[in-house]
Amino acid sequence: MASHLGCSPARPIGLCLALLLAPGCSQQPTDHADEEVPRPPEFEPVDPSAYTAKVKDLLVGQAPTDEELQQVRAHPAALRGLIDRWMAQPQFRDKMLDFFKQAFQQTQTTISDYDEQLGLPTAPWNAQDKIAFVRSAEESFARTAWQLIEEGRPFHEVLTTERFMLNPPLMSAMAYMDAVPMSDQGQIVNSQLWIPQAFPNFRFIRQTKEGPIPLEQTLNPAHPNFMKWYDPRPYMGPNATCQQDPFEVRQPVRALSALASFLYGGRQGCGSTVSQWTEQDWQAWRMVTVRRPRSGEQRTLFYDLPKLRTATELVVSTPRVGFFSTPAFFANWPTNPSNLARVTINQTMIVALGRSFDDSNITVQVTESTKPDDQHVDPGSTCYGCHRTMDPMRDFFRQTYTISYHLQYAPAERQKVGVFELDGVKVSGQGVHDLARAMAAHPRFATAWTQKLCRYANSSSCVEDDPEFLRVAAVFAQSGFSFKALVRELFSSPLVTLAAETKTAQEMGVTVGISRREHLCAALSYRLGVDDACALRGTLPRLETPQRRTARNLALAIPGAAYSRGAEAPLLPRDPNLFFVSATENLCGQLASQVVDAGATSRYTSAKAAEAISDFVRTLMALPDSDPRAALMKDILTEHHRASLAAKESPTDALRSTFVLACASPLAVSSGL
Amino acid sequence: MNATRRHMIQSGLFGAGLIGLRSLATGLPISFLLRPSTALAEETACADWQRAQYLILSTSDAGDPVNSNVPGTYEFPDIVHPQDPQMVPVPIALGDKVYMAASPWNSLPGWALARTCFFHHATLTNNHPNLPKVLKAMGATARQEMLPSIFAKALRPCLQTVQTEPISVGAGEVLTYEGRGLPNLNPTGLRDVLTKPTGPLSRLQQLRDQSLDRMHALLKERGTSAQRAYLDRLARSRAEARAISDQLLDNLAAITNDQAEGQIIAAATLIKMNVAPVVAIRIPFGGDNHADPDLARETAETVSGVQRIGLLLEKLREYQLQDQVTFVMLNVFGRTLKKLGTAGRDHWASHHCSILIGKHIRPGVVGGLEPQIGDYYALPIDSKTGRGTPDGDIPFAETLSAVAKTIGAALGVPQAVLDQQIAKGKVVHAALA
Repeated sequence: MASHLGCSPARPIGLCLALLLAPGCSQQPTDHADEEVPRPPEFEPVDPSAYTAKVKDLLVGQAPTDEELQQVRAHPAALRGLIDRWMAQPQFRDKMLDFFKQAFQQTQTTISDYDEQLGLPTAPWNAQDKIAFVRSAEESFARTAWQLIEEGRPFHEVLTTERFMLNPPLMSAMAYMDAVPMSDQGQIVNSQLWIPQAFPNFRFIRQTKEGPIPLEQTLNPAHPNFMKWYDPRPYMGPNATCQQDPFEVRQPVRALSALASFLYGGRQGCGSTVSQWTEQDWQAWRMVTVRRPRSGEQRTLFYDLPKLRTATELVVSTPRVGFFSTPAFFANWPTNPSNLARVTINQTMIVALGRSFDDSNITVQVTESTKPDDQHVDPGSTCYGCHRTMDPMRDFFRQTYTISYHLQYAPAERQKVGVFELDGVKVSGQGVHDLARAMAAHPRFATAWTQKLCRYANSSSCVEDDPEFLRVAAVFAQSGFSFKALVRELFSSPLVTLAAETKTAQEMGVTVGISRREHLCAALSYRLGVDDACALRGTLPRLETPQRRTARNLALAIPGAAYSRGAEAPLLPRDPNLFFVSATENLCGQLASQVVDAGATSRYTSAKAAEAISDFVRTLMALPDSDPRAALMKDILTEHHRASLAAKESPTDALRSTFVLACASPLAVSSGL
Repeated sequence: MNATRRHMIQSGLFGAGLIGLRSLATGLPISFLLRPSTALAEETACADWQRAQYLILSTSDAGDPVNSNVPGTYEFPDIVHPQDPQMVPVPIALGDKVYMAASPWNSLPGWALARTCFFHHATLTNNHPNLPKVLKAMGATARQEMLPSIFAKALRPCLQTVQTEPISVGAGEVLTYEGRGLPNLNPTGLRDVLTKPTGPLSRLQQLRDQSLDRMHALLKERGTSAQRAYLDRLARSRAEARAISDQLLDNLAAITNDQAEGQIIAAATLIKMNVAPVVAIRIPFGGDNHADPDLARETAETVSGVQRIGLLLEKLREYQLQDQVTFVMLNVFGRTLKKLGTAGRDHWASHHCSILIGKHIRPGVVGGLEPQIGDYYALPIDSKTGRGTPDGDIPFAETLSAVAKTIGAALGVPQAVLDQQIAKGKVVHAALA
């Protein structure tokens, strides 16, 4: 519809709707349009040494070799072959997993964000399981996208896939949500509690005194020990109820909830205990088909650990399709009785097609009443135009899910027909599968994902009617949506290399900026061989150290990519400030003690200071020997090292200071120099 | 010998003695290198040294029900308030008038209530992601600059802070400065970032800075204009980092978490360290409470929220900053005031209440409420008296700009700057002391 009304691809649908469908809108002057805008400076092409280092850093977090730089200097087109080579490195997978987590909006969650959709509090869970669950949920769809790429599937299957990379604990959680559905009113749908119906003797017992019980007995409905679970860590607190051994819960809903919590080491109301999941379970990723049960087929039991450990299918009634129905996406974007999945469809559109109903650049004042909130908005009000398109689209979600993202059983909602309408494409259908198909077939898909990668590379948007941008997007589409073809085409394009002028460079300027947190931390880890240099990955509480906490705090002060509600473009900071400078210096100071004279396996030793300094230049500062700046930088580092020794500092401290100098140098903490 | 070597480096080509060369290398003005904390202040004049205030802004996109239990809402019987005994309405003296308000508000120290204004207005949006727009007065600011940045730019010449850009230490990544997104810093992160290392690395910092200056010079010599401009920004950031005094860094050690308490200490300390004119935090006040049976969360967080405002004010007093800092709470929208069949409250574009506390704030209530179809609306405001009245010269649609301009005036931003930067609304002088 938006295109009928004169919207261009560059004009957000929200703006179109606000301007064209809401005559009552008071569009405010958002700018002093008559003020003179400074002309951008004349374009200067970037040297191959700068863009080769930039592209390799973005793709694999490493510095270019002398051979690679010489290849590009001799034949700039050689960059395409190098990109293919870099894409074969394991670091490319890890970099793309980070990109996908952000791009599919699967991060920025905490364990309590999952409580509502799980339908049980996670507070009592084992601390390790809380960390592992959040990490797994956030990684799951990124791993799925990567697996689809590895299988050579067209990338738009990220919208339609019903196969997901899952591990047994995640599968169990999804099976539990399916087994204990909640209505829009937040009530358990008792008629759909299939487990107590299938097993009338279902209960939950945890016990310690009797000693270990074989799991096959616990899981066997015919055995006297059915649903009797061994708890190896008895409750030792003062609560008399919790002290009961055996501790039994008979009421079916409470028994289901208690068991689900127990699997993750939770004793509801009685603290935490040992998890039933092993470290291997959390690492046991495999592609799992999520499908509905066939006639007469039993759904997957959330507590059948042996089957979950080997299953490649998850049989549940609740559909899961694409990135927009994962636990992590739902944890990011909870809805409520007033919102009724509007946030869900809006964020889905942002991720899938780069479009928002509420672009942050639009300013539309609400100068009249919006009727709260049975219909959310009055016809004729300024918001009505947006809702007229948005609400039929959110009905795809309402038809499938309740407010807590459980399966929708309410007949009135299940009958709803959603209408997808964007840029002249209009599709009616029911449920999230139809929504997925409509989005996957939409012509904006290639544009949206070319733009996401452009922002990843430049911390700035590409101009969507830039002929070079259109060319790259077209290559992506013509390749059958091969993600690696898109990477090859975009990262060798002047859109990213800035080796030639583009409309994007003319309009957006040439972006040189800080190395964002995700890039800097990856580079430090890969280049120095330090696992998780920024300590950003969660770890067992017992392995947490003050040094890790400090490293993490320092890293978090380095601006990183983030997404926010309603915004089409992620927040991609690129300017340095005093906190960036302080954080990178202090982080480098921490790393210095880990890599310089740090024991027998230390990467650098003060006994071989000259070798170390050469490596600082090549590895940290990403200057191969043939780069004319390399020798000059080496001189500066060498002189600093000598001066430090002359100042009566120890050889170790002198080399550590030289390391910090290299590590915090502009070349190491920036992108595009 | 060693001492001689060290001296030679320190006073050599890029040493302190040749500040002109350092200036050429880094792109920073000589005045900045000599006195980085004051140099930029010389670039523009301070309008009123005596009146300039720092701003601590509490802001949130949750749309907390701050507006629901403040003075001015107890005059209408169908406005719903929590029934919890902690929220019982009590008389509260603001200047020479007494109003009814939820009892937590009366727990603020008397000296603070004597400079507290409850400013009723609309935010003109009912959508969470629109907080950045509200902070741009819904399109009324020049060049879409945010109010905190407008204020910061105007105040820096007077306050001579290390940097101009506002800092968020818990408000989230909502702030922009000249169109650039500003990162959010967690308070514990701030503590670790600004705490300078001890030992050899610290002793050698000056030598490293000299080496960094040389690197900058070499890279600039070979760089494009875009690369040179970036290197200048990086060098300026380093100079700003070095300008922070060690004196107050110990205060940061008191930060133990990233919650409101940590944010409060961080904000007060950053201002005491003269880092920035504006610091943004987030004090929870009930959150997005659509589903809030018995308004229990609203009750709990109103109690804790007012306590935290009190904590902040006491911390400012401890730092002897109570007369130099203005506190403002301005969120994305208020919430519905009537009970309309939901368990909690819904978004409400037409009424919000900003809290203003500071030396130049006159105690009282500005604006008011009127019932209309659906719920209560902010009244137009008489700019002279501050009263809410249907024929006020500040119409409903300009009440957001009016509170923005009034905050600016309380901070010491000149009227001409306010009129140039904020296209609509008027300063409500009745809110100013």
